[in-house]
Amino acid sequence: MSGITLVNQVKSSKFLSGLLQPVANAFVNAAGYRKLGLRYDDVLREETDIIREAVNRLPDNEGYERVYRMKVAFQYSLSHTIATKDTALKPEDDVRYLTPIIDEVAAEFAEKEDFNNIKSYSK
Amino acid sequence: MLSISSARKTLNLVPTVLKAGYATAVSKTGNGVKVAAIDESSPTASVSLVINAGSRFEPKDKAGIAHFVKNFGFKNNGKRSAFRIARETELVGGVLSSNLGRENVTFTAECLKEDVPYFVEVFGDLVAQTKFAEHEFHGVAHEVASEVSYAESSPEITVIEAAHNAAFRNGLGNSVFATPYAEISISDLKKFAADNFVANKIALVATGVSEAELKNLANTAFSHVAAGSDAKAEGSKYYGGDVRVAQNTEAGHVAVAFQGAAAGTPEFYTAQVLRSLLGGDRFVKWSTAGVSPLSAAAGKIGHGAQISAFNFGYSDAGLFGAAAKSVSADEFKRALAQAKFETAARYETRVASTEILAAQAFQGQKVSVSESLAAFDNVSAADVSKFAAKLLSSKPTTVVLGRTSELPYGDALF
Repeated sequence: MSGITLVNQVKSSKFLSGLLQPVANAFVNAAGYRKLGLRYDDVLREETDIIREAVNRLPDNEGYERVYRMKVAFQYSLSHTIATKDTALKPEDDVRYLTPIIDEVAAEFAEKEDFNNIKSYSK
Repeated sequence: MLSISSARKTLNLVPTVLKAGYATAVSKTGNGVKVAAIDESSPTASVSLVINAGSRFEPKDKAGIAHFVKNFGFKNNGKRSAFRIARETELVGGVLSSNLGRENVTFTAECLKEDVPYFVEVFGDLVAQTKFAEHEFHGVAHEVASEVSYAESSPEITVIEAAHNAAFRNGLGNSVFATPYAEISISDLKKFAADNFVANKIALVATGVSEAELKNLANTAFSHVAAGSDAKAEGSKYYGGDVRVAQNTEAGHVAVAFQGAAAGTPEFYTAQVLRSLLGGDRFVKWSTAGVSPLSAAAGKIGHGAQISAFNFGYSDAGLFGAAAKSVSADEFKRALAQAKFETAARYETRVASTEILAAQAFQGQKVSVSESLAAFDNVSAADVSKFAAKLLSSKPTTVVLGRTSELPYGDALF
């Protein structure tokens, strides 16, 4: 969300993405959230103003699905098990559904800050 | 200061501002948006976006969608967020408002002359790129619900809406306020906007700006607006009928209306004259009885009775009548007969048409900008009595609100 990122350079360069994409995939597998049936955006820490507002703006069906996935993950955690290879979340289902909304909300908050700190001067 | 016009404004006839009258010019932009301006010499200007998407154009199963559209003005669009529009308007000292009539929804910005280009740009974005975001919809639905409950609690508004509904059924008969059973979703709104925010249904109207400058601004701002089809709106048909609304009010409200004249026609000016002749609005505060027949009748009834005449003119139809608020039904009937007699008597004693004109002007009656005095020169006393006779020949629309078991029926009044 903040900080220096080279994502665009890596994605546009065939060499770099060929090199680094397998590393990224291995990292995600090792992280293991997919084995709990969760998507990446379910794992984001939602106790911030921006993400809380973004979650509020989710369409109803996405909101219900999100809660359901969290319930499933909690059940896994309670029973000290994880999903098997075929029941785990597939990579194509790991959609970043919340990130566009987060970006929108972050832009709105930043705009509000700008307007609250506007300096006026006479021509 | 951001202000959204409240429910009471929706009963005003949206003026067809620029017919005759002041020196005005009407032209079109490249893709068919009408542009008109009155160049007054004042430091402030006002720009209005008038879209022909009033309650008349609501699809049959989407009653009330125009009310949502009115409240969606100045919300997030592709270029600016709603917050930014509000803050920037405050910074330049402008006032935003939205108004809904039966034929048009109007978005207005009152500002200083130098800020007119900014607001024209905002209007262009409103038409072409309003996002209709889901998260804004909940807020708008709340606003609509509160305006609807205000209207429901106002007997005067209920009576006029019922009169239109009985007189015209659909089209002009659609209520300006959303229905309590409206099932409108955000995708319905997007479709309604796509169908109605088209160039041939849009006019940009301004005061305090020169016509050439406004046309230039409109050409750039509205360049991305779709042209729209040439389909004509369904013509209005007058039906008439009775409506009885049972409500627990102490005062009974009765309205009687007839088929009136479309706005801008010579008959409409006759109707305006007749309306002010009948009068009823008190211009001298605390007076117990005015001079005009209706106010004299109201004074005779007492009990705080108020009777006033109304004349609504639309593009192809009109509604003319009187609305009364009184406590006793018998007394209203007596008052109506009294008014008819006195009006008839007045026509015979009136000496010249200039007297009619003077009464109109001095009463301070709101002569809308569109009517020039020249049109009234053509109205004679004979015209007025002929119009009144024609009115009475159309099927009356009667609305009765209050303790309906004690209030009269339409055909008992005539």
